Amino acid sequence: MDDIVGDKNAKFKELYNQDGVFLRQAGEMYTPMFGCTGSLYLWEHISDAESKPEVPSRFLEWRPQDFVELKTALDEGSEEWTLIESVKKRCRTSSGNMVKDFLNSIGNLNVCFSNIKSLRCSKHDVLTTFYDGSCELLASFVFPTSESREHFLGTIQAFVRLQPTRRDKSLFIVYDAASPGFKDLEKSFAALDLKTDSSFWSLLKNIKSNPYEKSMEAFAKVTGYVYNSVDDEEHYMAQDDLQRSISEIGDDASAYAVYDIPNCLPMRVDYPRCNPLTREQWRAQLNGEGQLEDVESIKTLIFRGGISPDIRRVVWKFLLGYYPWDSTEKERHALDISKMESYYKIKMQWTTFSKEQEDNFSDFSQRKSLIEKDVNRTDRVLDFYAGENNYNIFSLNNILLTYLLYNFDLGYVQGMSYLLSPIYMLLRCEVEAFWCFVGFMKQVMSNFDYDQNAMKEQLKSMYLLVNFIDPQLSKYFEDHECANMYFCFRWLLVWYKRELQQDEVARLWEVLWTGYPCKNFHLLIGVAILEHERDALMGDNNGFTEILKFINELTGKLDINLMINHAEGIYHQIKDADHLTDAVRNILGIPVAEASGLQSKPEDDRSPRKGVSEPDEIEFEKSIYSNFLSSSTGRLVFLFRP
Amino acid sequence: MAKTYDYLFKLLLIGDSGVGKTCVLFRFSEDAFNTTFISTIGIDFKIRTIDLDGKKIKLQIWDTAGQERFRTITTAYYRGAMGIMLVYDITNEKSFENIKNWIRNIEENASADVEKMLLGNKCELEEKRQVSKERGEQLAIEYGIKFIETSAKASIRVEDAFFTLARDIKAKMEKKLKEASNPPKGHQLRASEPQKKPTSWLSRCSLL
Repeated sequence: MDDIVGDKNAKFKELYNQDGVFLRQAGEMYTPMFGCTGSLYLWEHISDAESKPEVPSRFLEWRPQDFVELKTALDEGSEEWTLIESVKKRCRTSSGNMVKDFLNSIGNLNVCFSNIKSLRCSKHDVLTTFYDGSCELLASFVFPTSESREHFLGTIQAFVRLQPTRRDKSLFIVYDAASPGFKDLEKSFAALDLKTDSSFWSLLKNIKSNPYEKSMEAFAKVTGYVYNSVDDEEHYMAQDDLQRSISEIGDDASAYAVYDIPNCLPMRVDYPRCNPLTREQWRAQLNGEGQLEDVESIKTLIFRGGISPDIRRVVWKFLLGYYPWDSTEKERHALDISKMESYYKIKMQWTTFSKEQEDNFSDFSQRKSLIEKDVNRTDRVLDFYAGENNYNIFSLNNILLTYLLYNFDLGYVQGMSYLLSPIYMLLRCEVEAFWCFVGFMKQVMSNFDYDQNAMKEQLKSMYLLVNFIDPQLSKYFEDHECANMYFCFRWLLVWYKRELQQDEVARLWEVLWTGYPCKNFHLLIGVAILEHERDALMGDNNGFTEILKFINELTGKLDINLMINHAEGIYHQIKDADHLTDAVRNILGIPVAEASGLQSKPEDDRSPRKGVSEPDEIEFEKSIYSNFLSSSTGRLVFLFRP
Repeated sequence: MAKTYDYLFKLLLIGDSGVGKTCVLFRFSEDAFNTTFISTIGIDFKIRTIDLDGKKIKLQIWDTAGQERFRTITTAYYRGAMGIMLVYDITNEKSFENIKNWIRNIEENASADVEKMLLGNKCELEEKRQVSKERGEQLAIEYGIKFIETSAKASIRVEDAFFTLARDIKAKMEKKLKEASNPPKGHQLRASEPQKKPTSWLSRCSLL
């Protein structure tokens, strides 16, 4: 970086500065400074007419302790960069004089930001290592706190994008928005001969800014093409070497033992919600037989944005198992008939009971009266169910009585009417609503078990998840006799039905029915709500009573799209956490192999690009199609189909 | 913050599903009735502060889901209760028959000295009555508790019911406090003495 130091005309703006940053490692020439604490700066060159083109636009600088005067001078802009040569500060090591002399001779540690091609955030969350394009270590710093590093990462994300790598979630590829890779991306789109209208460019922008790793395979061909041109091959070639070099230095945990850093979660990544699945997108997936071509892609779209109301009626029947996903139009027609027949067969069993029979069948008549009571107080505020002698209430009653006969062992349990209400309101057909309700009940039946163990288990899981994400909050619950989480009971029993408006319930449920991105995602919705309200929950020394009241009064105040968005971010944080426990893993059904971190290194680190050579193509490719699909119209999406 | 009450009483409403627990509570706390009531899932509570013999008493009234299935969850709330309203529906024989099960539930889960009261709700539906007032009274005598017929819809005696229960709790509490300050000779309960379970609600009563 001598060229910077020597440039007398350059002026720099400070983007970041942090004291107490410990230099762990850097190029050999800086060896005497290893182990010193200093200040880390990020400077941006303020270009003017006299600037030399070779002056880098941004660079990192680390200075051994106490450089206040220089900083002040630079802030004022009254001094020139030459000041940096007048280093004469102490360094807090036993070999102070030697270091001082050394510093006088070589200056500070400078890293041109554009040389940084990847960076690694250690499992303890404060060691950060920067690498160049050939995987050489540029510098490795320990930040004083995780907040200070987050601040740093936040700062640099103003002009670069950090893409986590597939095999090691703590390793990030650094993309500069102005890099040739992105220019190539743009060129590749031009080559596709697409209309360069504004929606296309907003789509392109989305690809850059909203990566999402879980997606579909359908567009592999076109995205592969896009990807290849984006691929800064040097980075990816370097990755395997990087993996090796990191594995050599990365496990040296003893060096940090003194810090006693608590388990930290990876940074929360925002997974923006997308547009709902449209009729066009749905239709385009049906082949000549009326069979869905790519179920996973449809489910992904539903997970990412829900379903447009105009197509919801059809799609729910698939989500709830009324139609198999791979059924043809003809098969569905046959199913309509057979399901109608079997519904009326079951229904007839109770409609033909005589008065005497019913009187002698108290298990039935008691449940019947309970159903009647409940349907009469289910969603009566909605126009659809309002008023005396409402036919829709009558239908709810019929469906629940038929379900009672269909599954007499379970019986009728309060809450079921709330699970049925949105389904019937959408389908408006007893037969279809019944079978869809059967499908939903299959997923949540254990909520209504006599022993309530499944509910208790979920409440316990909820506590464990809160404990993992926000230990302070879980500690608060524990200290205030709330660790049983009973205040979440209603949320879990009827999947937030009572907290939301009908259209919000529909949105949440269809997202949850996809089963993405993990098992028990509905628990993470609750965790997201609790985390969102954590300050209110812990305020005023609230006890169980106040917390229950607060939670019960959240009804109608939740932003469900935001909560789904947060829940997804939380899922990724948990999945990628280095200290992920088996208990938490089991709750969300995260397979051991998927867990990130040092434990999951490929077995043969030495075989270059073999078996481990699919760097992030898959991940990145997936993120690209996901964004294609989600942020574009059906027309544009299907233009890309291979 | 200045205290807004002298005593805090925790009450609990139990009884079969659909007997009108939530409506009784809503009538008492908001003086209103709504035909579009929703069933209680899990547990909820409402608060009303009343004046009783010059004392401000804050009543924290817990409303529970009636279905037996949820008892494993709702019984967790029995422990801190000082008073329990057992509610049945006079137009529903079964809900009356089940009162004895609810009593058993109380015996198993609540403090031994909890004040209880029997409430026959929906008394405005005379033409649909299945349980006579006499049977209600008889049952109350059997258990040594007070009885009242109410109508949340027509606003009949709901107020009386809660005031009666609160007055009985207050009397019992004041009596015990008096005894505690003038203990009978020969027996002094030490604070450290291990207490028999379930503990008395007195130990939980907030005297502010």
